[in-house]
Amino acid sequence: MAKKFQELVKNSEILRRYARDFYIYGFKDREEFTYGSKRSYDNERRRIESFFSEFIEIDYNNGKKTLRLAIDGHRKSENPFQRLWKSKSFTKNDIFLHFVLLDIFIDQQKFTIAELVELIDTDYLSVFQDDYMLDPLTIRKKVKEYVALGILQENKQGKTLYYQQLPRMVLSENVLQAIQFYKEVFPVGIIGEHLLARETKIQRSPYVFKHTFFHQTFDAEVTLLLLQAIHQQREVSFQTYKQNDIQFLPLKIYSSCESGRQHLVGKLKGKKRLYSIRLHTISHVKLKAVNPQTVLYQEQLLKQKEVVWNAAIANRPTQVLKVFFSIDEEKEVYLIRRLEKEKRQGDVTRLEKNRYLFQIKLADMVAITPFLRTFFGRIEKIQCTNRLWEKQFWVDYQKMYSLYFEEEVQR
Amino acid sequence: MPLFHEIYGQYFAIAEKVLQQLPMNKNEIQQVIEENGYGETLFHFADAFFNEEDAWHLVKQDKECYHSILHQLPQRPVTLLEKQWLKTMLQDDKISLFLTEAEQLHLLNQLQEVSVLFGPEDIDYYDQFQTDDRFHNTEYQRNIHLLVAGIQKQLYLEIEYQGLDNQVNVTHRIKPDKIEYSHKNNKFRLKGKRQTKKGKWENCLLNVSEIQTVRLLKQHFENNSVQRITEKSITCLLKDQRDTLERATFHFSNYRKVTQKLEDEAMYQLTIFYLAQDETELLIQVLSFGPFLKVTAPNRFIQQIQYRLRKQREMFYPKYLDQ
Repeated sequence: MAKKFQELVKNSEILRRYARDFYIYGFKDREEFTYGSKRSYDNERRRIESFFSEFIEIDYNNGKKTLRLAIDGHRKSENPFQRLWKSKSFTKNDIFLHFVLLDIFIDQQKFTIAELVELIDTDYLSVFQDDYMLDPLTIRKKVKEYVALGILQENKQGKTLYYQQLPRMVLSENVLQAIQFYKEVFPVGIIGEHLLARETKIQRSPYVFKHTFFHQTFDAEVTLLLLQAIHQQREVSFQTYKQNDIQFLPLKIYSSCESGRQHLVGKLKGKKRLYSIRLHTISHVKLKAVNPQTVLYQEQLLKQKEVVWNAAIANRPTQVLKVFFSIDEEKEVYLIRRLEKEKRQGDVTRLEKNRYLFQIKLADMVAITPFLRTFFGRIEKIQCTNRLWEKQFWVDYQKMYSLYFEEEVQR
Repeated sequence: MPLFHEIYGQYFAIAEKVLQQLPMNKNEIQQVIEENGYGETLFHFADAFFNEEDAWHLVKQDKECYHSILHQLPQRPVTLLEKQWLKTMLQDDKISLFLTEAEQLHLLNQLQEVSVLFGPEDIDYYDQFQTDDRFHNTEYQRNIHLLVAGIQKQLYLEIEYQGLDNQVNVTHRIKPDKIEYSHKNNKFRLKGKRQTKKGKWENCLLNVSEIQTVRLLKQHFENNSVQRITEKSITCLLKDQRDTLERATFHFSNYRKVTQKLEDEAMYQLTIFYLAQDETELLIQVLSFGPFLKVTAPNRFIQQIQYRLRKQREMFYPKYLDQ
């Protein structure tokens, strides 16, 4: 018999991939999803429709149904994708013991496992007429789990193990308000969301956000593990879409504020140079041993960072780029400000009235192309030691020109 | 210490809420579930909550009413992972905008036993713009605190403002609405309504970095007027070369957008919805994609691109491309 559909899931990985596709792409039909069986597609789609019902849009193209998550990321106080991390499945023992154990441990009283078994039986289960019972092993396992979660603590007195609740933490109104901010902009903000969810009364958030990328939430677990590994200088193993078992020394997460794309930068085991891997393709991260050489590689990254424009850590000889701009200082101050704010490690010099020079040394010129295109209409001249790139830059410009002036070009 | 754990789950949160409010009848409980659950939650949750046979055994029915079997009102304690995240949050360079030094110290004392999850040096926001917001400046911090107080208490504000291009301060009477933070600009702005000379209220957006002083007035305002938002859209043709499809769908993912596959191979249509005030920013983003993204509507937007391309041709353009 087919298994009954459940709204909750044991593993978030598949859901993470489907939800991202519905949000980022939003044009794939059922046949184009290749992560699992057609049945898996149906189940995940149904879950996503349930979790994000108010954001679902459906299209029919050539008789094929496509579903997308349509969310305007601008100026929202809340990231709806945090719901994905609230969908873990559980057993009836899990939920029963959660509430009953917390009820028993409400003050700082200590109990042994045997006392707990007795108490659960007499004070809680006895009100029911059915034969629902919990064996001591299940209770012990749950208590140990709550010790690991940092809710209970274990103490030894003589040969006996006692358990009690850790002192309760109360969060002030201002701390809650800080969390309202950080849960939307800080790594693994979902933890902040969890903290707020446990409060009974909370003021409306005074903040809204621009340039936040909701899809980064899908990668929260991977991000958390990788950041912990980086901080503890540990190696990790993980899977990507292409490869099953990658051994890696993570050094830094490169996160783009402009596009929301995130990369893990570090060293592949057995290779000398540094690599960057798109974070959303990473899964099944496991923390491994501390690597005492991490500091050396961090220094290598720091050195390479000086000649890298984005997260593509190129290992090529450095090239020099000079871009001369013509900017009206009286009417276009905002452009000078843009150059200053967006130059990264580059230099901006005023040559004379209305003439500015932007200079930078980079190992990979291709990375800076999109930035320079945003200044079309102001570029007076480009000088680059990479002539091939320079030519490609203008060839692309010409193609773009032809796109928008087709008739003129044809003449 | 897993992040994906049922104690953080919505079902546990709903159960906690219900248990806090019991005794209730079935309809009242169902209402709580419906208000807090997802599309299909009521069906799955109610089944396990009420059914005595295979139930969660957290409630006992007495005639029409359900009673909690717990002796206390439940509230989930803060977990170790959450404490670690809080301690990590305290390291951020903007923390003083939210918590005074004494508050930071108090929180830090509560978190003495735990370690941070990561440090600010472990993540690099390499394309974040240089900001002129002075997060460490006490005046700036004070202004933010007053703005938040104004928003939460719905009090009129008197703000002295000096725009970057102005030499003199202008005093505005403001109904504050929200503080907007842009991660890309690393900048705070105040959204609200400003009183014009004629006494009318108009939408305004003020850079907090250019606010000189904030004065909290004693008078409350009613927040009954909804800000009028003009949404616009552009339609583009996207050619999936050099990974453009993935780059563009990610890049524009913070706008509401619709992507459709076209019959021609590797061609897609992208419709992006945006607010009128973000038009220049969107134009810049579109330009950055070069010849792989062509705006096909509206004409007014196309003309802006054409203007820049033509101006570039007039200013500089390598002659060898014409050969």
